[in-house]
Amino acid sequence: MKLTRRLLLGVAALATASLAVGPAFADQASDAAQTAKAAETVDTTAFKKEGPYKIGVSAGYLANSWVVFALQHVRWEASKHNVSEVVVTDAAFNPAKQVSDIEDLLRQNIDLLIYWPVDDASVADVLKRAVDAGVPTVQAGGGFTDAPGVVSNAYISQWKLGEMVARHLMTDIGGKGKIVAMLPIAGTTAAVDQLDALNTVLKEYPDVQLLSVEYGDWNRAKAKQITENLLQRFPEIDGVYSPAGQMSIGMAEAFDEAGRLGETVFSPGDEYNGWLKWVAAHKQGGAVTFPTRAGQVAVQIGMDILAGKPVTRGIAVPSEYVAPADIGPLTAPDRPDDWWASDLPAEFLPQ
Amino acid sequence: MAVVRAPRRLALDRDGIFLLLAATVIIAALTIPAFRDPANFANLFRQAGVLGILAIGQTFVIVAGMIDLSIGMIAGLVVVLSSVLLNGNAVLTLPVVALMILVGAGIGLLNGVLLNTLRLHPLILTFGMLSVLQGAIFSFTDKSVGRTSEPLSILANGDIFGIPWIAILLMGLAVGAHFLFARSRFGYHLVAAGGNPESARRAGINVERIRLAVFVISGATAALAGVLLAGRLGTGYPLAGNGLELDAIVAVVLGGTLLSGGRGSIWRSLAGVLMLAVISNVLNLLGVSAFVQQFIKGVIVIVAILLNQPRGANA
Repeated sequence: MKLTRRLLLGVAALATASLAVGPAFADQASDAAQTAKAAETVDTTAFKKEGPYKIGVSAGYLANSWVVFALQHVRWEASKHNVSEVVVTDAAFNPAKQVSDIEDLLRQNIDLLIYWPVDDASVADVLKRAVDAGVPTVQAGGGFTDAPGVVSNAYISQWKLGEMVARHLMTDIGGKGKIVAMLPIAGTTAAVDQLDALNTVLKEYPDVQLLSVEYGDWNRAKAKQITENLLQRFPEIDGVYSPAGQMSIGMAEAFDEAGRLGETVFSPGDEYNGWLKWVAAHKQGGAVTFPTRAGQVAVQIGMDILAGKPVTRGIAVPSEYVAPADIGPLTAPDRPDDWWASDLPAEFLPQ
Repeated sequence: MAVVRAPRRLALDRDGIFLLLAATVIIAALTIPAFRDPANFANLFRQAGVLGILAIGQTFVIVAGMIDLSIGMIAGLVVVLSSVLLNGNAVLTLPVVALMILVGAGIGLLNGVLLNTLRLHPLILTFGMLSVLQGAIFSFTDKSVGRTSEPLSILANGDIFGIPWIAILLMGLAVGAHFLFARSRFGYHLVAAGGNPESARRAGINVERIRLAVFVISGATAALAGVLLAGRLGTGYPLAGNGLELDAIVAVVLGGTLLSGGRGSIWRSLAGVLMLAVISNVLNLLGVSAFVQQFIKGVIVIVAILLNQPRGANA
């Protein structure tokens, strides 16, 4: 009986502790600190080896046109070097599968691992094992990752992108009004960083009210459906924060069908072709680019590592703002919506 | 009952998964050098461990004629909670694991009580629980939190003499589950209650108690799987449990367990889990395009189920 009571007390104490501890939310590191860290030099002599090289690519997800274009940049750049094979795995948004995929790639004696994570923290351990096994790792297209298992990064700061998008939106709505936010899959680094950036910028704009934060999973149809509900719920929406163009276009359709397109201002999206077409037609929103050439930069870094040349911990692939008036050259009117502005040669464009 | 202790003739619907698994492994070992590397087999078991534990719990549920869609989210909740509670502290490992198993069993108990009192279809009820748990996880955090402990990391990723710890744990659990399932009074009652609840009731079997028990087992095994998943990931990723319930159900059905209940086997479910892991591993090793992999996996699962599920049995 005493044992039972003790056990119950222990369980209760642990349960209470679980509520008291709570999650530890870390703010986004300052851009300056991140840039300084990325500029640090890495000694790569331990990874030096002769070609031909086998590159393993662990994609956190491939069911996304941005990733497909980034992967084509990997293949294009690989074709310029002494690379015998590019092996690709798709974790389909499942971090446990990505851990398994990387284990499988290591069993195939790859010389270089390029990855974009479902979640940075979840692959940290397996990446450390890769580096310990002599396989250099390069992160492609995510935010800068500073971890023992990441040799270098071709990074795009989701936070910086989110901040740029938020600041342009604040300017376009005149620094006041009611806005809604559409983010990618909840829990992913992209969603977390973009929301953090928005909240940081909003602190400077007390007259802007964030009505609702929604997660459209990078899915045009889902973003449209959610927006239809938002339009029912809120009689006034002055601005839309949506850094991902494929969701912005779904939202714009919902506003248009509700006859309320004129009341709201859209933030810049990315260079998703469907969004670029919309921007060109409506002369608003613009774009903050999320360059698919991050895959190409990752291979360039990887080749330097395998040659034993010193590299930095990260090379930023910067996002750039393109105003609605300048959107024309980026837009491909004869291509489908699910297409990305890029410099890929014809033979490497997705079929 | 008779099905569990079936005569030992080779029957496709009973042994098909073993034949298919053996054939796949032999062909892969003969044709892919990297596959027959002992370290690759260790990888396979490491990768199959979490799903294997989930499938054991789901086998009990499905044989009872039920289904539990909440196990993925129970595992996901445990991934987050255990990582936050442990936060890298090895000393807390045992009490936290025990607490998590209690949490999982408690959610299973709640599922069972609601099922028996509200008379809801288990598909609807456990889908509701899935949503509740998903909401709870995301109310708590929308990003990776905490850190698993070193012992759990070793248990999930390490090995002894080349044999993964997680495989040893899985086998131990499977032996225990097999005896409970096929050699105990509870197991006989479970098969009877799943096969024909009314007949079971007339025979004096407390069907409601059996259903309660299988949901508790399912919740507890899901929690154990969650603890190990946290060990695999190293952190509390809030989406970690997404979709695991469907993988577990596919593995169990692949193993020949009838979705309508009354027939099943722990070993065949594990063979189903291994089959899924082997397919994924082989396609990765062959460098098959990730898009084509999805297609091939789907076709193999359908063919395997056609082979080992007696047609009309689920009708």
